[in-house]
Amino acid sequence: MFERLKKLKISPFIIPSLVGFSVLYLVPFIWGIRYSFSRSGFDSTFVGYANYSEVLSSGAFRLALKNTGIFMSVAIPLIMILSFLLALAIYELKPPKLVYLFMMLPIAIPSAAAAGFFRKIIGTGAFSLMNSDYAMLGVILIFIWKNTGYNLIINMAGLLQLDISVIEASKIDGATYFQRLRHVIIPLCIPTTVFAGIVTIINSFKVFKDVYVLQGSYPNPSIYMLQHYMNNKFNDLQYEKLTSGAYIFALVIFVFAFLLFYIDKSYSKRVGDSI
Amino acid sequence: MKKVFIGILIAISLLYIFPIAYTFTNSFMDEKQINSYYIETIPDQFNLQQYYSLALDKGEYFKFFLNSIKLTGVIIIGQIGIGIFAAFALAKLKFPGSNIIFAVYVLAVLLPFQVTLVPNYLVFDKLERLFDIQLLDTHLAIILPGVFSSFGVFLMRQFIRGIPNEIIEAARIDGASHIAILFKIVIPVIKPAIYSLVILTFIDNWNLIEQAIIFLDTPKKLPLSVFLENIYHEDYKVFFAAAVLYIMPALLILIKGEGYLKEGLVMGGLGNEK
Repeated sequence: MFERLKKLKISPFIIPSLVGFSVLYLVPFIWGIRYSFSRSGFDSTFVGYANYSEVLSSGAFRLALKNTGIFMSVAIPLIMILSFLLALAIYELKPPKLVYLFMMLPIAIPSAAAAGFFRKIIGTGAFSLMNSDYAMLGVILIFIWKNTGYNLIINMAGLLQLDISVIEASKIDGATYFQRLRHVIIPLCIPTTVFAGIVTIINSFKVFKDVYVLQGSYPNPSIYMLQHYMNNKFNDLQYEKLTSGAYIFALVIFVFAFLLFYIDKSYSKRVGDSI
Repeated sequence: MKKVFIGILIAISLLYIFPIAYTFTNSFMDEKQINSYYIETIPDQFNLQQYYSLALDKGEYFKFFLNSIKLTGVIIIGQIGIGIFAAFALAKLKFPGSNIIFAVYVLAVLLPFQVTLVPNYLVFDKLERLFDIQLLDTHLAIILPGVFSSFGVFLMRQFIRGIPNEIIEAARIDGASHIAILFKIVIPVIKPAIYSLVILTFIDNWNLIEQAIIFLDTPKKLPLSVFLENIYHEDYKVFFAAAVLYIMPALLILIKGEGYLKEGLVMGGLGNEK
């Protein structure tokens, strides 16, 4: 067998990982496309994009898509700005080390353990935040509380690797702090910020854990998200809906990711050209 | 002026630590106080009652704790043990298709559980129907996808790329095999990445919820990340002690390894290509 692999020039080192990954993820992911165009998991009659249009036009999916969109477009910029400012403040002011540690510790706290506190503050009673129309606000708060740490680590690293001589030069040229921030510090931090953005997107889907422990599979409709939709489709075991939902979800994420990579690439190119 | 800003920073950091501190102090309160309508922060009298009754009356708590340890431990060991070979191959042993494989691995990292659990589920279901291999409702249904999740390969590959090729070439000329290079040169150099991977994977899997609620039906197989919810509803009087014990491993690992995390997360993401 190894002779054969050698002929293919594929390293045996990759084989265990590649086999496991293919069997559990890649092959069924591609295989599943078939289901998304079939009448059902048991009846493979080709139905075209009927499943997709059914998913896209269902009320639950639209609600989930809308809420996920609201959540991501508010929470992600908010946490990125907040953590950049916090990192900048820590970098410039050098407060006691505990400040940094305290902001970071929430990343280690499991959702179910933190739920005791959040229930008490915003989660119980008919008039609580989580049961009101503004429940999304609570979800965003929990998300920011829990994920600032990751962004802080990345932003701090970006700031700490700044070339001091560039900053000194701008001081000598008489730039004010805000000019320096705008024209030197922020542009130099773009690569770390893009990476922080990718990590934030990945983590933003995990907010499901916190919403789930607080409100279960069918939460307040104003915080019913794509993750809930998918989760509940597992219970129905409708393969055709499950797979077409997954592909729509995946497509949205890939488009997002490519956009970010593209911004990063074109930006680095521009900076590269101007230097 | 500077002092004012530092004061504000300290105040913000206290907001971040408050939910954790609240959980800890509440674990030392008696039943009456945790049931109080108000937000109680300081125990009326320091009291270990919650811990005693957890240990004496709620022995099953520790079974769920063990479930969590088993799932998290096996996933970490498996992901690193298998992933390190793949990461080395992808970073240093260029072969046709290696870039495509890496790109697919990266895309998989981006997807949320609700998407990746779908292919996992299709496989488990097929195995059960065609070969009568039961994986659904077993811990393996969580462990296998965890072990082969591409995140570890991705992170370690980024680090291995940073090792100068000259070092590896030199060892090869001296007659070292790939295995020897991996164990004698690569692994010692990327230890910080491995530590940070352990921390990140631990935090993530210690809090695994999606996989458990979809793949497990039998209540006694649940990890604590899901079962703690039952304690909240059925045994509120010991909830905070249970939560504190559950938090501790993740918290200690984070505090101990915080320095590595900085290195691992950032270098891994941005790459240190040479």
